[in-house]
Amino acid sequence: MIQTKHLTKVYRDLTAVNNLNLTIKAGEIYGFLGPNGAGKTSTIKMLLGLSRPTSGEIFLFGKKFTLEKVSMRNRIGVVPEKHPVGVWTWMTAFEYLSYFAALFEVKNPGPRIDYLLKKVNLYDVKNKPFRNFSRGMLQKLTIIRALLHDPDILILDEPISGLDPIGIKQVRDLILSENREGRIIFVSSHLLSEIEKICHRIGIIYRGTLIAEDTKDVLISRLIKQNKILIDVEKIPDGFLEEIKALDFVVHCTVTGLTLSVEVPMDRDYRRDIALFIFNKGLIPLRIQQKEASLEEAFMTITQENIEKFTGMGETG
Amino acid sequence: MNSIPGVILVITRKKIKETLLNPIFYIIITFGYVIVYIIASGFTDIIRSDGINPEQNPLFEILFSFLTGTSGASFLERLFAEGPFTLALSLSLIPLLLYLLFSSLFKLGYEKTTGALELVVCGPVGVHFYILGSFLRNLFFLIAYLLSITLLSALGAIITNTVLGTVFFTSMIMLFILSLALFSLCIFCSVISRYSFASLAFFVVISGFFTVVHFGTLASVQGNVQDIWQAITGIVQFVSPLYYYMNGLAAIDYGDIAGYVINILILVLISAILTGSGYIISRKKGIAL
Repeated sequence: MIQTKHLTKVYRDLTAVNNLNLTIKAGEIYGFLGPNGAGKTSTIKMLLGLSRPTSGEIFLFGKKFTLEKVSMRNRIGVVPEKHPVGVWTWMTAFEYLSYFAALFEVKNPGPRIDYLLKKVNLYDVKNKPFRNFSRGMLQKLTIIRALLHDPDILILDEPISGLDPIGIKQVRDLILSENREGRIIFVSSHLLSEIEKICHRIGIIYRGTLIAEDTKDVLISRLIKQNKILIDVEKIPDGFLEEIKALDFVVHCTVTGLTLSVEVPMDRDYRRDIALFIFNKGLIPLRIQQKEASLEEAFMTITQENIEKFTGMGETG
Repeated sequence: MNSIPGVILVITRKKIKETLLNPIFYIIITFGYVIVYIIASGFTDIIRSDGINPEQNPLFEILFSFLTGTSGASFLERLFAEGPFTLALSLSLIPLLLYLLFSSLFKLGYEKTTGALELVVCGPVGVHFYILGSFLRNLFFLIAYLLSITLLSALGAIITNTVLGTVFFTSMIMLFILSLALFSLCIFCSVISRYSFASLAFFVVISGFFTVVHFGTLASVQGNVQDIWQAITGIVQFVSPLYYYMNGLAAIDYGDIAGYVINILILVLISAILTGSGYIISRKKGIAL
């Protein structure tokens, strides 16, 4: 279990992390979201024991974790956002993994390395220098490097950033499979669509403060106040848009081409009401689809709210 | 807890392999051997039945004039007491020393910038282990190089019917200890700043200052120039490794074994202070260095 109590990091006059209280249970995949500069990296650095908190404490499996407790890092595997490929260009994938296995003093690392390489389909290239690996291959190599010593916690910083769809799927599957083995997975990312696919719980940090934390569904239901219904019609007569906007349950309505986007309250399903209204106007709806609220929308809502809270005005962008 | 020697050994081994894969390393080594050859072969030009005549070889003429001016005639006498090999050893070591020192500083800075160091120390590896690994790599190549030069010089001595005597070996020990002090200074400089350029600049400025202080002081004493510079250098020289290196060599010349040992011990102490300070700073700063 990872637990932070009043974790704070201040750099001169900038509070990067402010009174952060996290509790991540065993076997959980925790998504840590936030815009650039929100305090994600500062938090990760403290969790990795690379940076000393200004105040507050970190507990790993009930034991207090400080910078000096180097041996406790053995229980953590990390996948950084940027992989320093250039430094080890001369190494083969196997040499690279062997080097880290030796640093972590993994006993008899050969079979473990082979097992992990096979798991991510890199076994065939194990004796090739990895300077020519694709971004996806490199990311998989980085993840299995982090798994070499069989850590209890896997911390991933932007693990799918820059990957193609196949690479994303492979990495996602790997994360899920590692979680099934009981590992705590802590994922920091700005790719919200991926986070919502894999995470059990999500924390949103903004300007160093944890502004929301819950499961995806609870977060969305708490933050998204309207449903969006998309309707394709054959034509849009003059004044039709104004008539829809005048309906008492319609919060907002926009038109893009022949598609209407109608925002309605979340208290019930309004598709039938809209369909009836369109029929009554002598039009045939070609498609009526209620768009599921996404984490991205929830994230945008919550961060926008906080921008307003922090700046005292409706700042955008 | 991972065993510290084991981790340091892994890092050192990787750094040694990295160096051996670098073509520049072989160029530097070749350059060092060429220096040995040039000095050894040039020495045959200047050696005469009545003694040494440096005017017979332009390179030696320049060297003699420089060394007489900076270190005095007695130093020169001592240097050639057993043939050209002590000078060859001293000069040929310079390219390798510079390479090891600069590459350590650059590499650490590069690894800091790219995040490689962070990746390594995310595991149970302290930054200080990593820096110590770099120090041991330097030590490994220094010992290997000194042994190879000794072997070459021994062969040269056999061919030219000269000997490798006390001066050569005591000078080699002094050079070895001086190199340790420089490696320690390198550690200290590399933890002072997080940027390799700043660390390198710091190292160059300090080493350059010690060099100027050392040679400048001697020149000033000879010229009896009493000025502020002399007063400053008179004080600063006592923390300069070069000062104890030269004193140690002078002690051999006078047959002062105790003086020789004391100067070695002071150099070791300076190395220990620098390494210790670097260790404390790196532990304190952690990856932030």
